[in-house]
Amino acid sequence: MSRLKLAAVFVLLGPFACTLEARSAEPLTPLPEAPYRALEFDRTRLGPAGWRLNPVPSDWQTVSLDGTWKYKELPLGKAAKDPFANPLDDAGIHEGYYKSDFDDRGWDDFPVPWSWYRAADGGRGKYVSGKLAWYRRTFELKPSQLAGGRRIVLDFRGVAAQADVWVNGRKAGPRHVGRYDSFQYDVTPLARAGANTLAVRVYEWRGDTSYRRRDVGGIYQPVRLLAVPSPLFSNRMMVTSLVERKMIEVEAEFVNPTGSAVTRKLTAEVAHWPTGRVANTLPLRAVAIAPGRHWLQLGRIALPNPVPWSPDNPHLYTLRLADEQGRSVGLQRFGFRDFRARGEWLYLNGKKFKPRGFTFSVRTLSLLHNRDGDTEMLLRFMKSLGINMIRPHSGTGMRRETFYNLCDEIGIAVYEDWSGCCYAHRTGDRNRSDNLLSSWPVYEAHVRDYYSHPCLVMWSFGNEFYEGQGGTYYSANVDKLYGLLKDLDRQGRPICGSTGRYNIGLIQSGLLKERTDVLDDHQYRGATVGSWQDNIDHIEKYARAAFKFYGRPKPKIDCEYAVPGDNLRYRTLTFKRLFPAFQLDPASAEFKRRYIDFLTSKTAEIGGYIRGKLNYCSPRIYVTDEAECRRLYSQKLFKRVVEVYRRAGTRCLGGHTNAQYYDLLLPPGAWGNTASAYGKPGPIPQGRTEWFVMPLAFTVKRVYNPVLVSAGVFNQHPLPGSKQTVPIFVTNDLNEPGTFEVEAQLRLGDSTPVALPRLAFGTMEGMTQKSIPLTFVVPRPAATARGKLELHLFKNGERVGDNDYPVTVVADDSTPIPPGGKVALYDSAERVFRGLITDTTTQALKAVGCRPEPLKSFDELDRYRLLIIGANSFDKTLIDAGERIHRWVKNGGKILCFEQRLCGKVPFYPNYSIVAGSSATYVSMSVPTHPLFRGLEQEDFDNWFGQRGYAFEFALNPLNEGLVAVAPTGSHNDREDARPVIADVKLGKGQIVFSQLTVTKRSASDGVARACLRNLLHYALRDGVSRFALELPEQAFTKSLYVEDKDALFIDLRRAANRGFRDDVQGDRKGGWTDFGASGDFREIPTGPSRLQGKVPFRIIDPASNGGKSCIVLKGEKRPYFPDKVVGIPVGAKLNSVYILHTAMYAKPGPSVRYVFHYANGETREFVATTGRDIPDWWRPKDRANAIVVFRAGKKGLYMSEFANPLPKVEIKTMDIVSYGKSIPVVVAVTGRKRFVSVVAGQGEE
Amino acid sequence: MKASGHSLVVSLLAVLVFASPCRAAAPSEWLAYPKGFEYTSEWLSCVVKPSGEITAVKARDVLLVQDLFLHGTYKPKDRHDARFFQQAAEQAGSLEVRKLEEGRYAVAKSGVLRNKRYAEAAKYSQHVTLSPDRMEFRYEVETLVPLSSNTKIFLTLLTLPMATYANRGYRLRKGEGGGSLNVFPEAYDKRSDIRAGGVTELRVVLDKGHFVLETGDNTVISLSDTRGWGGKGLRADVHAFIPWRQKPVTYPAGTKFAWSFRLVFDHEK
Repeated sequence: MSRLKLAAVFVLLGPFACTLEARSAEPLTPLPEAPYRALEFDRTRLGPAGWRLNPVPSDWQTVSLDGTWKYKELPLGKAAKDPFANPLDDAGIHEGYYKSDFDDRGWDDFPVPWSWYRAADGGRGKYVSGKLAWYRRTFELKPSQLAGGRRIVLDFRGVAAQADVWVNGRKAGPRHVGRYDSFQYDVTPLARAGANTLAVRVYEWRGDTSYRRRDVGGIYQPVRLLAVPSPLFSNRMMVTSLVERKMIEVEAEFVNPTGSAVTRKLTAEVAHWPTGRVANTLPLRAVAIAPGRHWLQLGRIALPNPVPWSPDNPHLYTLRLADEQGRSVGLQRFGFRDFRARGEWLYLNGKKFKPRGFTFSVRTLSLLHNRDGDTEMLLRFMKSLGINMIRPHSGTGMRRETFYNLCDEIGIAVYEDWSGCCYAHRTGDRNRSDNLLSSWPVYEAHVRDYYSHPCLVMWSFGNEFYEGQGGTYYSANVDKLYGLLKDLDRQGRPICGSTGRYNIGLIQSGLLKERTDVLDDHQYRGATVGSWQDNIDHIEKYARAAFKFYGRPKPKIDCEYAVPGDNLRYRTLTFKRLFPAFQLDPASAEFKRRYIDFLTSKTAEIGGYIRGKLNYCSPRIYVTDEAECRRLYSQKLFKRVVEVYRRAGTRCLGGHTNAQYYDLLLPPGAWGNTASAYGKPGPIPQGRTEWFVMPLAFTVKRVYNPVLVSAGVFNQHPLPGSKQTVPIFVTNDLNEPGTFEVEAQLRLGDSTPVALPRLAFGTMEGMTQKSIPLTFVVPRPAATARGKLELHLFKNGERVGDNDYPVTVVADDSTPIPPGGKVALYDSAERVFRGLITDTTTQALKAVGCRPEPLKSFDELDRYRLLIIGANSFDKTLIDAGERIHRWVKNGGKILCFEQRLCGKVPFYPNYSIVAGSSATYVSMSVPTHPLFRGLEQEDFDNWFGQRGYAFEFALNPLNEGLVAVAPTGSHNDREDARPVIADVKLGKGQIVFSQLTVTKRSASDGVARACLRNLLHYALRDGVSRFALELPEQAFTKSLYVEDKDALFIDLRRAANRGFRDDVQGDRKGGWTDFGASGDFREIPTGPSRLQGKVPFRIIDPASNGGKSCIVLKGEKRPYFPDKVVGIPVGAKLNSVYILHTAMYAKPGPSVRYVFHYANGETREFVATTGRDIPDWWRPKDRANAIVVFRAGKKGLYMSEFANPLPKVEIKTMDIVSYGKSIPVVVAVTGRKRFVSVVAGQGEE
Repeated sequence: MKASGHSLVVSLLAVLVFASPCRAAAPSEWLAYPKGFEYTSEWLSCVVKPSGEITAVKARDVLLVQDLFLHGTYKPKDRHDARFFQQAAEQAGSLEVRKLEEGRYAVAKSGVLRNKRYAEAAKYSQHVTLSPDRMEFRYEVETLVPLSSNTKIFLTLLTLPMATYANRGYRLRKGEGGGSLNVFPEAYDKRSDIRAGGVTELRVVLDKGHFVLETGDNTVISLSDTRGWGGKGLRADVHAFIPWRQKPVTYPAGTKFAWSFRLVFDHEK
């Protein structure tokens, strides 16, 4: 596509003006997206459906024994001392299940291959620690299959985990032990023409139950019969490519069943696959093969003009060994391929390689079984998107032979994440480190079995071995395994000790001692936590730390990032509950109550899925607009993260996203979309019979383009007329040079795109990256315009890729916002953060033409109708004036409170606290109709420009009906992490608007932040209280609870105390606490004067100075022998409040203990403390309405409750403590507040 | 200062030197200060106790740090007091001081940390450089027995007086980021629990300047408000970066830890 260049200083285009050199050629349009469509796939391209097993020579006959077998499970019985011993003494042996004439007609039908942990219909079976089962079937042999000295070989492609085989009642050979390798028995002496009986006894003991193991159990891979013409046969060969020498080196396993040694002169024939065209034939030196099974070196074979295997050209060969009569002894398919780690790079056939990977759940394969060729189709589709490497996650089970053969043929590299140690045949993960070594024989067998697959390029010994966790240390064992594998693997493939193990913390800890060729980190910054810049910083920091530790560069990849793809699943239950709620008025109390309900729901199905969306998408969009939700997922949780990694150069070569296959391609059926849940039409049609392409597939294709154009982190809400600089990257991940140019344009709304300066990157060598700043002046739209910065990449003059980023340009509005008198501003940020802060609310308001009067004193509040509290202005003066401000609002004042950092209760509104944590780039507009969002959309509340791009840094707490906008969570599991960021509440006759958005900080450069600022001001300046402001049940307003020492009366419990804090023996009625022994005491309680949590001082008795007694323990159901009350504790003072330090064990609902106060005038008053409100159970303590957890030790807690004395003017003479006899109450200390302190709730001063 | 010579004046001086904590120093070789060392300057001052513990770090009359000492804590397999305090360490020689130049001194201390369970748990060395506007610290610890922990084991513990820092604005930096701003709350509220880890710079705005705590290589600060569990104020733990683990890691004997940091008073000119 050619373009005209127009050198013009000033070009006017529509409503926009561009002051830079521009081109006036027709604007480019992005390459078509085409998401949400039925997959169009030419199935004639697919190979045979079903299992894709290793090929055998053409002169071998193959009979599949797959199908329906007879099956009987036997109970495992009492676990033997050693459940792994598995002696042959079960009922099957005794009753002759292996015999030819055994009548198995009463047995179940069972499919082979099939994992016995899975139900026959494919659903989840019962997860058990192990199984013992017998399989039987018959098979026919023709005389011709036995003639001519043919060998009959039973070929089991995978049985887990111990198999004993009988043919016609006779044992076929020694027991096979292993899960992941094929094994064979030469049954020629046992077989006969006609009907033959095959019996297989399979046993497995894992020591734990886990759904992850469900796909590897019993006869889970195919079984076939091979009729081999030669008396000697080879199961498998290990072919090593010597790329520079153009040779292969071969080691083969031979089976000599003849009983005596044989010497053979073999011929090696290398042919292209699948054409069969011979590339080379070479006689080999004679080999002597002893009886039995042996691996032998066969030497080197030249390969003239070899065609290397690579994802771009997955060329395959076969190596056939033939005996002197030309009969095939064995066949091995292989690829001529070399893969190494050297320096900071990975090399494929001598050329640099960068993974564009996918972490693959192997369950996919189990589900599909390549039925109708679906697995092959899926893999080919993934390849077409630019994926060149797959890491089958070890935790999802072992992959099948079919998978490797398909990857060989299609051309997808496999990062082999070994799952064996997770499933080693000893007790699960508890002995995981030792299992690494003890499972080496199993691993070795697997490596030999799969050695020659060219797709298999890299190793990992398992997932996330974190050194030292739980006292488990892997270094020594990983290093041993490294050595063993290096000796075995003559291909020299790189080894990573464990995918995800090499996080920065471990590298810096000095605990890593093992060798590793590749570093692999798993981290999720920028997606669920932190910002994109945090992710970029981390990659840099990691690279420095790794280099420092290892002293030399190593290739580094990141095999888990962004977010697990399960994040996007749609659930019927979720929608049925949520969808009706989102039809309500979002400003209504009813909607908010239901919204909060969902957000905090314990049910993972509902709450978890809602909370998970908050990181990139509002719940409203998730529920009501599936297409938009999926689009946002693609953009925010896939595209942006992948771009960061693609741009990381050698600091991180690439990695594997966590998205799932069904986010790319949805299988036929009705599941996974909104339409199926509540009938609302969605983008995915009901009742599909075809596979369905999802929008993420398009995103993957775009961002996994080997040549990528992308933008670094930049201001996506620029101010109109401002000069912006955006770093543009071209990443050339091909192994060839190219001349690159980038055409950029700004497409806003429906206007003609504004062409931006063309960037000439020049010639770039392969595997390099370059960045050029794109500088332009932002147009000045007449109205707020949303659109994209579009980037189009040209290589050698041809368009090869594009990319885009959302941009919002908020129209200029420089209309001053006159406060109109009676508006005050309290802004103390500059003083509190002197030298640390330059952006203050005063300056931000000035920039939008708003100049309220600075507030000199809170005593002057009554002069004003609106108080603006500047960002970061909660200081001592304001705190001390909290009550005053509160009263002023109740009488009709209004507050607009900008973002604050002082954590704790809001001084003038105790319903909220400011809390830290989980700052994020995204904020969810929960009430989109609120005037604060006028002119703005949800998309605008993401990625506010700034050093970290956060839209807020501190939030409000708790989540209640005052919410207007909500913060995302760090984890969808955390119910308490969803917090308001904007709140709007009515208080008496007044109103308070809180905005924790980083408006003040960002409004100088971010147009959306500035628009928010204007909206906040306009809203606050309105007369009266808005209908959007909801009134919350007023919380008792007190100053932060604090009793000065001089106001405290320490009530003496020394005489009443009957127990100490420590107890040694349970139930001996001696010792201390509640007599539940050392694990049930509370010896951690500090003694002496203690101001726990800084609130109220207590004097906790030191048992050493009080005859071993320090607390009062009363009777409960579990401890009936304690006294039911203590009476007559002297007080002797007039008190405003009484604070009790207490707790309970085995707490029952309802009243637990009552405190009875006897007054000097003869009256009594009682404080009945209940479990639910005042004195909860000590275990896993949590605050209640009148119980603050003031001390914790592990899971034990001590509470403080307050009793507001109804007769503060009358002396309390004594107090009694009386148990209700259900819970076991414990009283540790009691303090009274002697002097009156002003309280809004108003108890009169004496 | 070595007692020297034969004159009465010198002898009297020697008596004075050994009778009380010494001020200033004389020549540039290392001198033993068995009774401790008191440092004063135009801005910063402090008292270094014989154990190496440092108290009363002030910027003129403003108390910046109440206490600063080497501390250790590990996860015991059975119940016992699993802590180490520099004050209770076995001393390996006395405190040593060397004058670097006018107003600048180097202080060195080493010893063996111990508790009731371990007579010799870890050996340490401490190096401090005292200057009018900054103090620079370097610690090295080597375990003599295996010790387990979910996180850091050895650290320098600084207690910061609430009276100085209440309601003061501060900035925390972690790595090379811009930093987050906050205010130390006068009244403890559990929602304001400061707990911040991985900090590489703490900068607090005071009346006459900024108090700065900044870390050296592979060193971080963990900040907490001890009022959350009955303490009196702020605490800063400075230590080698060790990631938190869900399950404890056992460090064998011979494991070395090293960290360094600076305490600066950035006074306004």
